[in-house]
Amino acid sequence: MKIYPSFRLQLQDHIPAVIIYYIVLISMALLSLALIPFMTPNDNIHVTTNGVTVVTIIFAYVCSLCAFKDSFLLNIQHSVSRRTQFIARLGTLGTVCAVLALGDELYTLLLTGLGRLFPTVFSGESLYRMIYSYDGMSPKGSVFNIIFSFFSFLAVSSLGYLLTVLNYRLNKIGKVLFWAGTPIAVGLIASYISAHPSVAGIIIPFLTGLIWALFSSLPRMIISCTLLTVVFSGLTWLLMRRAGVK
Amino acid sequence: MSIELANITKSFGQVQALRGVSAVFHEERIYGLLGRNGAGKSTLLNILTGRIFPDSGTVTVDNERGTENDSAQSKIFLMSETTLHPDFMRVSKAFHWAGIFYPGFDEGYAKGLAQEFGLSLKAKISGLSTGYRSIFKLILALSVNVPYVLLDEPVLGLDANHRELFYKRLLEKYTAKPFTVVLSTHLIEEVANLIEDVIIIKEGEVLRQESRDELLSGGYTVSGGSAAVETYIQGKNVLGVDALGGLRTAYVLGVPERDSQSAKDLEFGPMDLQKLFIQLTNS
Repeated sequence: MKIYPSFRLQLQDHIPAVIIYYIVLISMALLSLALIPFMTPNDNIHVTTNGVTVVTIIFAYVCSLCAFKDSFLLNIQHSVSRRTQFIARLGTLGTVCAVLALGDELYTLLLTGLGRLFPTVFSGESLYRMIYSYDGMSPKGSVFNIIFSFFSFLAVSSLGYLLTVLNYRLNKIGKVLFWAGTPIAVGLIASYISAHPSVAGIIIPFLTGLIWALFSSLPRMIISCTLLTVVFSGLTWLLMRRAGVK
Repeated sequence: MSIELANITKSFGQVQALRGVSAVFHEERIYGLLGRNGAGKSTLLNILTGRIFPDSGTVTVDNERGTENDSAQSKIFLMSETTLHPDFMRVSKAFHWAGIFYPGFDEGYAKGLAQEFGLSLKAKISGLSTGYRSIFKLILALSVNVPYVLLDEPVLGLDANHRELFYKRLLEKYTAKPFTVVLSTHLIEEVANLIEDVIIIKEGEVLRQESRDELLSGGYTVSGGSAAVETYIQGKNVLGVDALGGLRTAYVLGVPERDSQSAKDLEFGPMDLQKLFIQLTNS
């Protein structure tokens, strides 16, 4: 089995992107810090990083969208089976999400710390605290922040990876149908719902209730994100197991 | 110890690329996998290395299931026409990863070969010309040290000097520690003296699988004036005839009848692999 080499290869794919992402975030904070001596009370400049996890969720999603083709082909070149690649991918997914969750928490703590030194300039709150109104500055809060971020990234990255594998498997017509058809279908459904208040009266409360049921507390969110990850990863495996070199 | 393919079929839409192909690649032999464009050579090699899946049939490597089996597949390295390394990767990085995936990879040897061929280790794969891409992949193939090395169009884009250097290094490597080499190429004349066994594929089916010597000893060429050659080949199993002005060369299966009356003024020669291939696959 070549799980570890494949894991290393897939992880290597993410490392530069993650490093650059945090360099950019920290540079923005440092730049703001460097500008403090030049600020006057009238400048009214305020640097906030509230819910940086949202940005990282988008980053994790984009990363996973770019994670399949190159590493799949290189793994195949090195005689790695799809099964091994998939297992290694799960390891990579977990590792990257853990690093991002930890990175986000450290960044939030850094900004919160700066906010204490320069209360008029900096402020930072975690997404977890903003959603669940928990005290993010306590050690326990930090752990919850990390757990919240980790499972969010896990679900989103799994979705991104599923979509990129699906995109790889589809032929040209399939790609057009999927990538153009999905937004059109969503737009049409949304228009239909907004044009028919009776339908909206059923659908919107259902969706609100569903979101409440799935994400209204940290344990529910963990279970929901884990289930989503399992479903997305299961579908990914079904697509990946017969993927050929194009 | 061998790679065995049994009843492999593969279609791409309406095109049937392979039709029940069965073949064996034994250990420590050099095979020539020959066929015209679109005969199914690359498809066969891709199936053998799990890059694509057959519609039916099995691949066995050293008595192990060959498909989706890391242990079996790690004994095989395919240098294909398509480069599967990412374009942004540098040659040195590709060597580094080859070392991680193939414990037998000899990085020092690879770097030495790169120097001999004039391949820069710092070059990005995307920046390499067709010839140097081939060289890059050949170096990997010669350095991985696995029991089965499959080379699909190995000298694509290589100049004569580099081709000669490659054949030289391949033979050196094979002599030092024999391994199975499968050469899929259209340059039959160049590899004719290198290969020990021949597999000829035609329209997705194996036409011949035998040793080169057996294949060539099964026939001969006879040359001379048109009338004399025509008379001689009457009633014989003729693969084909080349005509040049008043001269003719016929490719005949069987044993030459040098003493017969009709053989007067005719010249007999050994069968040429390329000619035989052309005659076998022409129709």
